[in-house]
Amino acid sequence: MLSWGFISGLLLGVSCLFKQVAIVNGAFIFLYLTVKKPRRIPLMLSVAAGMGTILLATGGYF
Amino acid sequence: MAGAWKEFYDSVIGYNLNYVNSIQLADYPKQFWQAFYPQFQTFWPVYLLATLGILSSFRSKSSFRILAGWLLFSVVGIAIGGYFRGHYFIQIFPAIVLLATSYLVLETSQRWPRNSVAVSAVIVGLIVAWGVWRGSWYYGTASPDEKLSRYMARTPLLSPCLQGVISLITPVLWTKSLCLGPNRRSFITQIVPAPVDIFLFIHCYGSLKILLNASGKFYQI
Repeated sequence: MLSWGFISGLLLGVSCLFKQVAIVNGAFIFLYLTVKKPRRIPLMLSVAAGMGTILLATGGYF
Repeated sequence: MAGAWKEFYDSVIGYNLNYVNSIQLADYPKQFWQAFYPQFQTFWPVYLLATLGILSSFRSKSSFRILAGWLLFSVVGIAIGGYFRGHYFIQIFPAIVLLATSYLVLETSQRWPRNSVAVSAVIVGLIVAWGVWRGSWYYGTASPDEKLSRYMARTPLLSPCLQGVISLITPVLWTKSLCLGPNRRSFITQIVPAPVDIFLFIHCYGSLKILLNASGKFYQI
């Protein structure tokens, strides 16, 4: 599950760079994880880590 | 490209912050209807099924609640800025199509348990055929310039794109063990959104740009 969370974060990060309105889909994922999941903190962190990896790598490149 | 942080920030964030402040909030409904009505005329069966799926969320169907929430957030996404350009609606397609096909599979499974796949296939086939008939000009012999002009002006992106999404997702939904079985929550919330997002925001947007560039024309999208 954590690996899927990380992959989702990676793809979310790329999506936000292509079309910034994808951020609302990210908000939905985080909201769902906040409300529903028993392992919400690790999952949220894995999604955030994936998204952060893309954004930091892109920002670092530029 | 290194050292271009200022340009990168302006392209990804700064320009968009100015872009979204041009339309008055009072004009949002008019802008929405002008963009939505033409595609509603073609895809009303899909929206009807999706609406029934949303209504199902009030009957304790957790998977429909998740999809309804996803749709709500996606609608917020297309409403940002108030432009409601045709291709913006791509963002709601995944949730709309999943709501529509999930409801269709659920209903046919309950009403015709032995023939649910066949009945679903017939209904989806009719919906796709209706869309193809409505957009038949796209598959005809008109010139590329004429098609491109009509493509952008009247039914931007929606006809081939929505049918493509339906074609891709419906077979997946027919594997009911994934979307209606015990793993449906993890399937819908963790597996579907990411690849669908990436497919829509990269493939469709990229394809449109390639199409426009190949035609030798430039449109501000």
